[in-house]
Amino acid sequence: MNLRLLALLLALTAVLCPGPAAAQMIPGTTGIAAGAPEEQAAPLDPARALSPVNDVRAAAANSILTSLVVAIITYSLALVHAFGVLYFGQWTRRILQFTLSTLMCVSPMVLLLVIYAAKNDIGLLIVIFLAISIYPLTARLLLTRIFDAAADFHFLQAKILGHGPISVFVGYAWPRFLPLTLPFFFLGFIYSLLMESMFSSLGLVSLPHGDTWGSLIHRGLDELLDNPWAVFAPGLAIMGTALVAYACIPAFDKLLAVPRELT
Amino acid sequence: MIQLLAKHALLAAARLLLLCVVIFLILRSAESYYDRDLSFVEFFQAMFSGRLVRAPGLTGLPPLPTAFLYSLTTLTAALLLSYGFGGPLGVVLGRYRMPWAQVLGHVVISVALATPAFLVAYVVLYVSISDFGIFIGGESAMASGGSPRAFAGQCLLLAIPLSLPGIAMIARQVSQTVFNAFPEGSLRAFRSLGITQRMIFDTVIISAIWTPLLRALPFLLSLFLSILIVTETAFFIPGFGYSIFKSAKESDLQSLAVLSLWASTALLAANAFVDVLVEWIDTRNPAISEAE
Repeated sequence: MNLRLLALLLALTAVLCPGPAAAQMIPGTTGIAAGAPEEQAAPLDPARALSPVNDVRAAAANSILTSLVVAIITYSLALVHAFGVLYFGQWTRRILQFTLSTLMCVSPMVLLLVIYAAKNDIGLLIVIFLAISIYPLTARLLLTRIFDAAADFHFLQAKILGHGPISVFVGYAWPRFLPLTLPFFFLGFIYSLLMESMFSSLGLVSLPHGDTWGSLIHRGLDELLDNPWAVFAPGLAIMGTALVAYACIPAFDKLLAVPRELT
Repeated sequence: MIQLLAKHALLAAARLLLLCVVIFLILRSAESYYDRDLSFVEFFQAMFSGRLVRAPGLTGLPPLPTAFLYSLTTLTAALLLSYGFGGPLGVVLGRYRMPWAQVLGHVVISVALATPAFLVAYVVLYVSISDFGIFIGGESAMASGGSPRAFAGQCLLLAIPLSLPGIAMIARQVSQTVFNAFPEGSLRAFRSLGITQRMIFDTVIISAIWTPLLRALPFLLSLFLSILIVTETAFFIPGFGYSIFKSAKESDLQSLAVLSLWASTALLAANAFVDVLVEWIDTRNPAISEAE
């Protein structure tokens, strides 16, 4: 089963992400995966640079990796939050719930405020702020899912036996939480992709490491009627990636054999 | 009930205070903040009096009452569309487990996921239509201060793409609840016992779907507020989202802070309202009260 999971992950990576080699081969790429400074990049071939499909391919690594990092941070925070709520005492639980409910009220505009307070120059910290704005939604859904199955978890026994929170989390909670909550990782990925695309398509947010699909839409909007593919191609790429991520949820549900009554 | 209200009012006040402190500190740390001499108490008062938003006309921001009217109407229409279509769709999807119902559900959810691409297509279509002189309400829907028909058309124009993810979210939540309320084969068992479908619907489904419907409200509001920035900017509608876009574009940090805080206050109020209502419904439900 693990091999199948690994194969699926590799196939997904190959489909979704052009990878470092592919990204370096495409002129003008300044993605995370490419890792090459801008001044070392090959000169732009005008015919290729004008092609929306090439632009989309060049920006794929940035868009997908950024959303993936945001989703990983969000999912990890949400998992730790859920574990904290279940494992620790009543006061810790109350504080965690209060924090989550407060963060739920922080609209994405506060994210914009932080970015503009720092004069749009916070570098890769933008990923952290995106994760903070997405985290409450994932955490709330994840908590509901875990609470449905909370009767199966025996944290009290583990505490009585003298196990610390880290050993309980790694040895006991994590293997049980993973199959229950993995769908929310993909939902978090989709949400972060959409959020980043929305803000960068308006030109409100720009990532320091190059173009994303959202910023391609922003640039293409000026010539929307003359060259609609400059907008449609990144839009379709966003849609396709979101749909592929959505299609992964039932696949992972089956692979990890989630009990039907908990889905 | 009074105890419940007092508890949630206190919690909401604490959250609001925390948010104000955070925004105050962000503003004080920024270079472009121009009302530096305000103390926290003055800042708090000025925030909610609207004094900190720059005068309309100076920076291209739309007048605040107009912006509120547009956005509130749009949000209300989007919420009505989401609940109006999402609820019945969720019941159908949870109740009928035939392939067509499942395919329909996945199509709706996929359309919701494709909202950014769909929005672009929507804008292109709209611009093309307006290019040929076909406008909603018989006049340019992009011009502000038009007739009530034009205003309604503009709000509906924004509410349709906004409601798509809402419909998907509600449909998914409701179908999951109905599915959990009636596991596979239970409906056939009910029917064999002579219990009518009408009775099942009235007694079980209606009582079961309230909580997920209510719980979805803050999520929807948060989602709509973020998408509103895109839709209003794309269609040049002078609403709340467009004001936020303009403030950010002109690096008017103070206006951005006030508008962010207002949006957060709306979310806070929705959250508190839902928490009170859900707890009240739970305390009235004998099964849950006894279990507790």
